[in-house]
Amino acid sequence: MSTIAKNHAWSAARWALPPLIVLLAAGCAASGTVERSAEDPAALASYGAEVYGYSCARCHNARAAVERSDREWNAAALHMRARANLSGRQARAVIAFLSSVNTAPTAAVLPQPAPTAPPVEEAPSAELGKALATSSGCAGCHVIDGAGGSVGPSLDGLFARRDADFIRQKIADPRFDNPNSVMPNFRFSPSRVESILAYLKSVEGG
Amino acid sequence: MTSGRIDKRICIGLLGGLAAALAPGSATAQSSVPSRAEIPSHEFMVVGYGTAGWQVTDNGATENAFFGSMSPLLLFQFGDQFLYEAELEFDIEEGVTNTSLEYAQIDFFMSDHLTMVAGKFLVPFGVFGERLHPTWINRLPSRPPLYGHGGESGPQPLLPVMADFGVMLRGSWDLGKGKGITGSAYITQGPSIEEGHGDGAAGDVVELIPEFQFGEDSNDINNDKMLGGRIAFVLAPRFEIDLSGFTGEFDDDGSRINAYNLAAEYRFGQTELRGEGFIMRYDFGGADAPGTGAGGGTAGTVTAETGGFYVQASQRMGPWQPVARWTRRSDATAATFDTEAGYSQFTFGLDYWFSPSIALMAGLELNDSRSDEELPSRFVIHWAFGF
Repeated sequence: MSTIAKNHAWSAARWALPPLIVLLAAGCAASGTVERSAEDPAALASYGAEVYGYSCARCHNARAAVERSDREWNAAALHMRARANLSGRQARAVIAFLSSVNTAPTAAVLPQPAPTAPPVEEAPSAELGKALATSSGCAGCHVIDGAGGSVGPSLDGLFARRDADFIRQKIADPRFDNPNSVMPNFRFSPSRVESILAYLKSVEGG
Repeated sequence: MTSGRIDKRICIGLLGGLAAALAPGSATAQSSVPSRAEIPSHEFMVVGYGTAGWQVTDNGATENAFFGSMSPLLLFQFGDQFLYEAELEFDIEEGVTNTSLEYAQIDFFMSDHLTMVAGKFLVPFGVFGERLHPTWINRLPSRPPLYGHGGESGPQPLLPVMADFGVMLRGSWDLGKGKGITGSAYITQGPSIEEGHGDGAAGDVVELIPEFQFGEDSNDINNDKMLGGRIAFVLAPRFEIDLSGFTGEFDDDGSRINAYNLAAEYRFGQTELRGEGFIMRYDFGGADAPGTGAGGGTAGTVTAETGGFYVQASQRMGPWQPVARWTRRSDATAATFDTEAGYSQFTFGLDYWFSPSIALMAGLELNDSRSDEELPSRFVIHWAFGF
């Protein structure tokens, strides 16, 4: 090693790096992992919608889940885990979100969580709408009540821009006005659409 | 201290890191590995991006050229812990088809928080080179002129998009509410310089600052590894600050480069602000050091610095996305940081997104040189296609 580098502060960094690597590794290993079986699939998918909105959207425009199968999203998520520094749980969450909204005929490779109860027609309510919006991860892509993602348009002040019929139709069929829309079709029942409508109206004081 | 001793310390560090990561965490890591019934065990897919475009340069005389490129990315997934990924590059320049292997790496996901990468990988120095340089990710049809290869239109870049052979550990900690800390530490073969550089007289910026290359030779030219790292703080869901640096010898005479980078990114609504800047310090050593002793360094050496930064803003409005970028490079003579030298480049662009991954991008580059160097203006338009 030359006398130049010996006099340079970076020579100290050379010696510091190997121990830092050890600390990095030890820290990561000690912090453990989140066990897949311990996670509620719906909660994981909801978290995945958030990660999709604030992490993936840093570099990518939102792509529709139907563009790829679950298997392909799984491989792509591993690639992005290494490239974009996602944690394992974040990567699994994004996969869970994309899988949960993937309606492509070839997509159904990953097992989906079985419905806990047969679908019933609940009475529409803002409370139920809030629960549906939360579990579906709407805020991953949209601002709702002042917080949320920027992939899609803000839903605050929505009723000043769109009439209720448009919103109702958009929730029921996101591509009715735009065949290239990347918004997933959650296949909400008509009464659940009304619940979400009521919730969106309630958060803007409507 | 000898290179051999350094390498031993590096090996000890790496092995220690590997052991530490595998030992206490492996049990939980293994428990997160899915059964074959739960997740498909393997997958192969081809993704990537391509470009087709046209550019006009004006440096007194006007020249125009068509260009095209394709960068297929091959992903081989095995289970939930291994991914092999390799990206090829094909482009046509002056009638000649160039091919290269941009990176080829194995990712070993050791735990939820730690990934080991081995092979030829994109070096996480700053953010642009590792994450933003693909044409369909970059919002403009041209790179900030700080990055690139000599021979491209426009100013001489300071660094290529860095990819090098080595080993890297990457960590990621999710702190909740969109916040987190990520980091990387790596050891690679290190830089070398293009022939014909580095032998000029002191004060001659063009000759003094060499053009670096990484990963051109998998052999180590000087038995001295390049060490580097980065740490990033995600302070809010859409606000990240990234610090990185590296050090390595680029010749077999003790000549060394040290580089430091600061990058930041902030998004609010459909507005995106990002930028990064770096400083590189060169210590030229050896009997053939340019301008020996003239730069204020120790006898027989010349020390020089150079650096630059870019800031970029974009606003998505439906399918349209106007973009503006300001790049500034400060060149240095020996032992001084002469901010009067170098250039500024202003780039104005407009994108039209046909789909989330297909865009028509146009950009106009206007250069303001602060030296005698003539820098052409340039208009570029291209299709960018992420597939």
